[in-house]
Amino acid sequence: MPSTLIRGARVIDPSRGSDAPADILIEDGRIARIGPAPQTAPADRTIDAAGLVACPGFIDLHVHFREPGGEASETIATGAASAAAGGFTRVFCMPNTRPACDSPLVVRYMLDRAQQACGVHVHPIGAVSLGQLGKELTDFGALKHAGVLALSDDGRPVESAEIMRCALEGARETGLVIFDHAEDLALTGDGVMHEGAVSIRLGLHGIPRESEATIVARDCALSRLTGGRLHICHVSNAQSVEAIRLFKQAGAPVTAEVSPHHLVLTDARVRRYDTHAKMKPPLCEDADRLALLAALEDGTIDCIATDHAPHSPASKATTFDAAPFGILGLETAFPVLHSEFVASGRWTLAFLIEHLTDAPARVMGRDLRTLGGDAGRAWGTLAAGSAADITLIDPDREFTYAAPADGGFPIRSRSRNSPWAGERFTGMVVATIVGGAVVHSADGRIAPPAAAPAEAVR
Amino acid sequence: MATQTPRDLAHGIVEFRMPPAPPNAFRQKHLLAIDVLSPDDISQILDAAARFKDLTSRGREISQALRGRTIVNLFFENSTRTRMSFEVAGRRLGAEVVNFDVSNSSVKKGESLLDTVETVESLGAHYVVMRHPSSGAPDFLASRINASIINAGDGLHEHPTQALLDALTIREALGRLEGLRVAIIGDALHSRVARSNIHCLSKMGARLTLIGPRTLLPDAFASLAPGVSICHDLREGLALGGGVDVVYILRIQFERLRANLAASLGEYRRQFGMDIDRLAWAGRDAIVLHPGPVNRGVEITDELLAHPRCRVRDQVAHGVAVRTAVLSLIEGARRYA
Repeated sequence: MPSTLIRGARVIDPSRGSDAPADILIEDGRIARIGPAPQTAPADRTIDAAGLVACPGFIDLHVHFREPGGEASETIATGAASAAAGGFTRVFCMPNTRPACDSPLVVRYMLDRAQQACGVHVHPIGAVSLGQLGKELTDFGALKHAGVLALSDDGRPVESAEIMRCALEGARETGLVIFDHAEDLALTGDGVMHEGAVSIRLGLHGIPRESEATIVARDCALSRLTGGRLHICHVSNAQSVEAIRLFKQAGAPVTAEVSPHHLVLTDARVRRYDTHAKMKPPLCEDADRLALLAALEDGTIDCIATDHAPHSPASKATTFDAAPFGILGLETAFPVLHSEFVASGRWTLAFLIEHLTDAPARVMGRDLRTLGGDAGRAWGTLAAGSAADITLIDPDREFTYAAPADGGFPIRSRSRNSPWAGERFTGMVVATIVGGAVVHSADGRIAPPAAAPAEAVR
Repeated sequence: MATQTPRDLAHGIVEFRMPPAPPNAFRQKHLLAIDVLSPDDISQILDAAARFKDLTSRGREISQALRGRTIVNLFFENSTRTRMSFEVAGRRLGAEVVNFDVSNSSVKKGESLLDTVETVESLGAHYVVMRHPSSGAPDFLASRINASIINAGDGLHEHPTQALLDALTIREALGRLEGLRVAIIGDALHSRVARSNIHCLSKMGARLTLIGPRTLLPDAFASLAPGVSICHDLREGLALGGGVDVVYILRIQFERLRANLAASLGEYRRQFGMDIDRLAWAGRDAIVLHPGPVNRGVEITDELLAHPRCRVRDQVAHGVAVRTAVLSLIEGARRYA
């Protein structure tokens, strides 16, 4: 593989606590040298990154790629291309496909499809229960052997506390992590948005915060009981934050993620029944949003994950109650958070990058990372010897999140269900590199991949 | 050979020579919700409705402002009175009225609302009067169709023409809306009639007290509009400010009782059922309204229904006048647009 030199970038690598100008030499898909410019090492190819920020490729612990079974909304190829366009080099796919990813067969199928995608690392998450029905546990050992690092019934909760207890025992045995979609379906009832003043005004059935928070508390308690690793997905409100804080202080092996939309939007965004503001858990109130921000800043919440949930335009073009839950996230995560919190001065760029790289890598833990098909290579870091998964960012570049016809750049997801369509952002991912190969480029100085993978593989 | 029908001619004339709109003209192209109307919009509708009522009572013809227009009644939920009064209103104004019978249509076979919209467009509808079990369905349609959408009830959200005919009834009985104290009793949470009335009466300057059990009356209702308070005790609520001027009784929906959201029927009746004795807790000349259909002996007794201060008959009688006013004002707004 030809060597590549990335020249002149400001390199931000939170895993090593570094933020300084440096050149990065890539050989054999790994970071061979990283150091202060000028560097004299000869390279087959040079990428001029003056004015750009280079950081470890982003890691997303929570995406839905819909394949197999939902290819009208997204495939592993289009999802991976969407990840690359958003600066993500490693993603974890939730198992709520059709069929559900509850057997080594489906895991193998997904890994095979990922091989034909653009190169972004795709990790299938195994189902906790067969068919995600919450009745019978899957074979954790066999799923792990097939390449699974985490287990979840996301899309649905694990309703039975007894099944969750057994799953956490199994997680302890196998060293896998349970990704928890925390929801009490009985409390959710017919709910389609956050229960509050907005749901009352619109006449929509509400979901109380406690639908999430009671199950967060239950599962944290079970994690403490069993010692099984629990990761709370998409924390959405102040009550859940309190529960996580309490059990973390008590020593439960619990981590948590928050989605960009819960950090930026509130239930007011539903406006007049905008189905692109409908997701689970729902957008809550500003006090919740501020509690989530504070929790991410004080470490109660560990990392950011998008919950990228594509739905076809036709499925979202209906009444609010009939539309499916979920919005796109991969291509907007960085620009949305950068515009909202870095450009405004609340966060440093390094803080944002940390929570998209090193923080999710730490959630998975070292033992699991070495199992992840890259034995011996670290994730979320630019340390010499690690895989050359690198994201290049132009923090000053403004752009519109829209199709080229509307003044933007190509949107790589197969779906369009985003609440940020047509909005302008500051801070853009201009190139994404996986294992030393450019998998996405929106910068004329950096040659894009030969064929657009989204088009190449259907 | 293409021939011009009188319809086309009438159409062409009105479209061709319109004077500029007066500055205070009604400008709503749809009636989706009271929430988005101004007090002036509401006053204009009530004034026009009062004029239509007066003309009708004197046996006078009203102008055929909707001649050549097509109204499609698109009812995804059963309704007799609302649909019929829209139909009468439309015909009086000279429109053609088509009833789209959803129960026999392909909607039952899984046709999406979007497909239905296209069907309705192909009928050349100028107006769609719509009732739908999903809150916001009229908003959805309005953003995708050229016709004017008139909401005849959407989910738990709003039922604007009901609130307008209620407001007309109150204004006629008591001479004004501003400064009145109105109590709304019952299941506000699941009531689109309650939401539309809260917005309408609040915008017109009335003060509202919502009365009902906590499960059916969340605190968030107080933030719905200015001047709204919440009370969980019937006597206390009716006696507020020396006694309310209007007692508005909502229909109790039995399926909510089954869902454990309220106590038993007997318990509900004991706590919130209205009868003549309890009317004494309200103001001396308080009037009683109910949107119908009435569950006799549950939320209201037969005796109270027959009481001279009960204005349910006026409410029903005002249905056509208010819907005539809405259609003719929107027609004006469409022509000026």
